[in-house]
Amino acid sequence: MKVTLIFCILMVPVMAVHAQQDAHLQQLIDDIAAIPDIDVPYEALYENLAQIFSEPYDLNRVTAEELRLLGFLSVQQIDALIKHRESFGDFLSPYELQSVEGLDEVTVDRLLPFVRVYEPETRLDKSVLKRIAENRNAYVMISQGRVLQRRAGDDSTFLGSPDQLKIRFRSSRPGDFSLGFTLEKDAGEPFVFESLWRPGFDHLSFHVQLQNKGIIENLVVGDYQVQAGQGLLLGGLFGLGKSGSETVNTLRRANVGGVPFSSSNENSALRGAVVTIRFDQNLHVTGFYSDAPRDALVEGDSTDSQLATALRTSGLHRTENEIAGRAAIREINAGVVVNRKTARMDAGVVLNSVIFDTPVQRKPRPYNQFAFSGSENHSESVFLNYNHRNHAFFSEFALNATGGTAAVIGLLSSLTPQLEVAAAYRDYSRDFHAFYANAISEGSSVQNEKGIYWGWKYRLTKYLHVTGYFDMFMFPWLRYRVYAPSRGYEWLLRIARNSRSGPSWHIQFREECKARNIYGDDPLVDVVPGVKRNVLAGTSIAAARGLTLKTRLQYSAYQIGGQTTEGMALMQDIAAEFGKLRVAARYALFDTDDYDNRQYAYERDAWLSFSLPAYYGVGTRSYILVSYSFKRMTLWMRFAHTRYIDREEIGSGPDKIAGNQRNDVKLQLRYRF
Amino acid sequence: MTAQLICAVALLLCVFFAEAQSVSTLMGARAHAMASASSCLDDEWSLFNNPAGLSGVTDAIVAVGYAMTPLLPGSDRMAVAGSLRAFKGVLSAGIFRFGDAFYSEQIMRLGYAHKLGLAALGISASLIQYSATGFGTLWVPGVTLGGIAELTPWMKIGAYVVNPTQPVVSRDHGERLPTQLTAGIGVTPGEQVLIIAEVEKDLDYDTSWKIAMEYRPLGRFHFRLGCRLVPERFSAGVGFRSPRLRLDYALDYSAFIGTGHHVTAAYPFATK
Repeated sequence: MKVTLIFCILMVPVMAVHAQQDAHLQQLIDDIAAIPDIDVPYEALYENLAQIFSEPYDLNRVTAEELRLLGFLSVQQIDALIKHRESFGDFLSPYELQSVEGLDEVTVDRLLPFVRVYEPETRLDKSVLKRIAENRNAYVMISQGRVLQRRAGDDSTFLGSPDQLKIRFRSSRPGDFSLGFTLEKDAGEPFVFESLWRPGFDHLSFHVQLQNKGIIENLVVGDYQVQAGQGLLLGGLFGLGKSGSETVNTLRRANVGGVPFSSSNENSALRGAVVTIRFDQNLHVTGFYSDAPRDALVEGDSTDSQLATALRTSGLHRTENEIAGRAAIREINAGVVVNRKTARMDAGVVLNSVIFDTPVQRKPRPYNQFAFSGSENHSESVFLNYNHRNHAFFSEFALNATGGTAAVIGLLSSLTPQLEVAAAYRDYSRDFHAFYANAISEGSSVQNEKGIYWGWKYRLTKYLHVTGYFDMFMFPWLRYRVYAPSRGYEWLLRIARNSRSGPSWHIQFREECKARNIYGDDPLVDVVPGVKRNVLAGTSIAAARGLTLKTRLQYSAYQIGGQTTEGMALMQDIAAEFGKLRVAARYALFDTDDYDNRQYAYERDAWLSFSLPAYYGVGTRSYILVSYSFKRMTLWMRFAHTRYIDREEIGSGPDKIAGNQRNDVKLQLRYRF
Repeated sequence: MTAQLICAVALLLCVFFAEAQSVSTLMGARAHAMASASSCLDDEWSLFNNPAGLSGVTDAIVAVGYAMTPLLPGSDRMAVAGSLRAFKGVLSAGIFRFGDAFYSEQIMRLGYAHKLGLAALGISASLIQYSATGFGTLWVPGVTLGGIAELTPWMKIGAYVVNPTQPVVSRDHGERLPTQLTAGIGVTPGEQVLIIAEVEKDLDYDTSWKIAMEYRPLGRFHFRLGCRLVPERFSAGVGFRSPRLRLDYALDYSAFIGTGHHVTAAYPFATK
């Protein structure tokens, strides 16, 4: 058996596939961002995926939950992979995946960048310290970027230079250990040594992780995130509810526990320690404690009467005012997850408490009447996931000490080898509060919502896939810009052809109907349905060896109160490879009537960077990204240019640029040890 | 109080008679669980949906059904239908009733379907009685024509038109029965799965879109899911099949009228 497999593996053109891996991650992200939604933290999601991509999982140690985290594997595929490993022994090469029943070519191609088979001798019994010292999977990365035009803030309120600087180090062996740190200074932030936590760079993040050491399954000290159950209380940053191409598998969350946090997202990491202990084969207990500063707007004179009236999440500390809010309050977050995991079932209990040292009290408005206020939030939840044949059931029920409740139940089914279906029901009360939730929702938080989701994915042929979903939702209480209880729906249909050779293309339709305030002469606010329709079409053609051409058209129309506005963007991309030199470029035209029709478009960026700008107004956008590798060094250079024909100044407030052009440059260097 | 009630009812009747005269006669919890996407279904309830579907009836069968929406009292619907193979096709007869003591619609319907190779054609004729307390009753004839064609072994197309001739309800007000055209496509990607996509156009309303799925794993239970747009509505249901009994239940939910329930039972008489 193994001999045949090795033979098969040798037949695969290994190098060619390797070269494509970077492009595959780009494609995956492009798919995920197919219906960009401002509410989804794409950047953090991207960084998490890119992190796995930069230190791929050990195929012989990866767990089912870790595979689920990737978001595109079905329950059957994960099952088949684990079973294959159990019955045939360790994988000899990632290309052995092609012999796993149920993994089709497109899926294998997508999975390959995220897994690797590590040489067995490196797993032998050297001490951890020695393994860390000798680890070859380590890199240090430095990047600098800036806007060439001066912004209003650069001349007045910004205390620092317009450069963005980032230094990142990471050394890891998946399943064994990981350590790393990130230093970052955003554009406009001053570079002054203040303390060990702020050594010139405004933001410092670090972690040390050990895995599979005796009964300690996982230990992270430093910055981390926790994901448990279906994410009603602890959601981490992985996971999308409704995305473009994955309408089925993203619905169920992975129950992974603690994961190191190395994103430059400044306000969402937990800081402290998380440990998972395996008491026996099936019983896992995770405990975590975090004591982290948070940015907030604090009002009140004396210590006793102080209130945090807004939590700030931008992570920007450029002006006196922004710096005043930095680390203004402290957040203690502690929790326990006990779960029992067998081959078919995963059930558990989550306890979580969040305590602020300053009470949080938002400025009262009718729509935020049920928002969190006070200084403590205690919650608990139970979750149950159960697999039966081709069906995977998942659920979680959560409860706040103050009475808020949240529930999600759902089912993923492979009805035929070609057809996968997902259905889920959610009900989050208007007074439910969870700061780290990440569960399926239409609104930006897991609160004040009821909904039913139905998604499907049909493989018409090996390469041709049809996916879609229908989601119906209700908001029992008022929302921001919606001053009445409201309801709406959304559906999406996408037809895509992906193939290893030959052209790829996709076309996608989406309609979303959601209520919104409109203001007329009448002093009363009218709440009316607004309908947004999007059409998206794209092709990708490998025109010659090392040369890829992509064309993409996006169109949208927004209809509210009898008025319709439109927007469109047309993009042409080219990517070419000349040995160690790679070039990617885009030229795009956009024409949008208003902000409701802004066009989000994923752009290629330097390694581990994410770029999803909104094209808005009338103008052109172009960029060029050049990367060059020599020995252990890789250099990226990016230049982006936007020119508007409908305005004489860009942006507003401190970000305002006089003139109709904006140029961005970025330089990034990576050294692999 | 009584006067108010009469006024309210009279107003309601004005609305009924002035806007749309008839409620939907779509019956069958199986179709209902599938967002009423019924154009490609061929079972004992086809008499009230696409009459061409009657061609799928193999045994003599009697079916009863009841539908209700708790938030809309007085909107209960019920029906009885019986079918048997006769005249080289399938003959079916049934009665339908909507409403309560104040206002009701009653329909007597006779249907016939015949299969010609890969296509089935069907027709049903109805006599509709509208009755409102204090306003008397009114009798109007209606007709429905339908067809189902098998394009490939795994794909069907079905369509039917209700009241193509637009029979007159009231000459005084120029009122006619609503004309409705429904067309759909049914795909069987695997033996256990049926997917139906359908559009429905009633001249008086915006076009409605539906997509639905039925999953029939081995065993006696069937599972269904459907959704509909304009107006948006979700539906789901479960069915039980045995040689002597067919039971179906459907639940639907819409933000306008809340949840609805639909139960049907059918008793096949095995033919020798």
